[in-house]
Amino acid sequence: MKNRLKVLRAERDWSQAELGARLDVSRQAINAIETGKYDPSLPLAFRIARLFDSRIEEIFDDGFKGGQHD
Amino acid sequence: MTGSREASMIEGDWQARAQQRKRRLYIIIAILFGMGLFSGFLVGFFEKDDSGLMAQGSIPPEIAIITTVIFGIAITFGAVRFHRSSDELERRNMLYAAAMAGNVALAGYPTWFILWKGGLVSEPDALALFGTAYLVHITAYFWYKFR
Repeated sequence: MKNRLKVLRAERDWSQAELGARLDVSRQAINAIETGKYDPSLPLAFRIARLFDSRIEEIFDDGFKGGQHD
Repeated sequence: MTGSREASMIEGDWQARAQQRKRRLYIIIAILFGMGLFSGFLVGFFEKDDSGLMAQGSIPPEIAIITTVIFGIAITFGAVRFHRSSDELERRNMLYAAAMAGNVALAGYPTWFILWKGGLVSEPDALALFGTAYLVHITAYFWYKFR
């Protein structure tokens, strides 16, 4: 799943380790999410959204566009 | 502007939290390693010199019981502690690796058994199946972790 995590993290000048600690996950987990190798659980997605003061769909893109998936 | 507790975390906080997470994991791994080492030492120290690896009754029964209890405690509490201390990616990796290893054991034994029934191979060997499943578990875990 595509996401804007790397961009949002860069805007705040946070390292992957720092973001991981803020979300209580490992640096490897942040890297896996950013590179699309791992889709976070719903609770973690909510924590990410809260941290960046956004809605989940503003950060994660599941490819759904008005009735059809990519 | 972000308003959550995580967003307002100061520099030292996240570093301390990351260190704490690492320390917790290292302590669990060290304890499990220590218990494994001690179990191995017990078996090795009390095993009769002239017996082979698979020989029955080669260690005193009380040593067998003590070692089994240590192993059971280490596996049970170690797994629970590790599960609580690791994040969801780590748990996912462990789950996938365990599923693959389990499938190897579940499919491996009947396959070997049927081939044995057909007289094509030797009798199924529990240690070989265990070793193969264990190897698959480790390989799968590291593949998911570092791919």
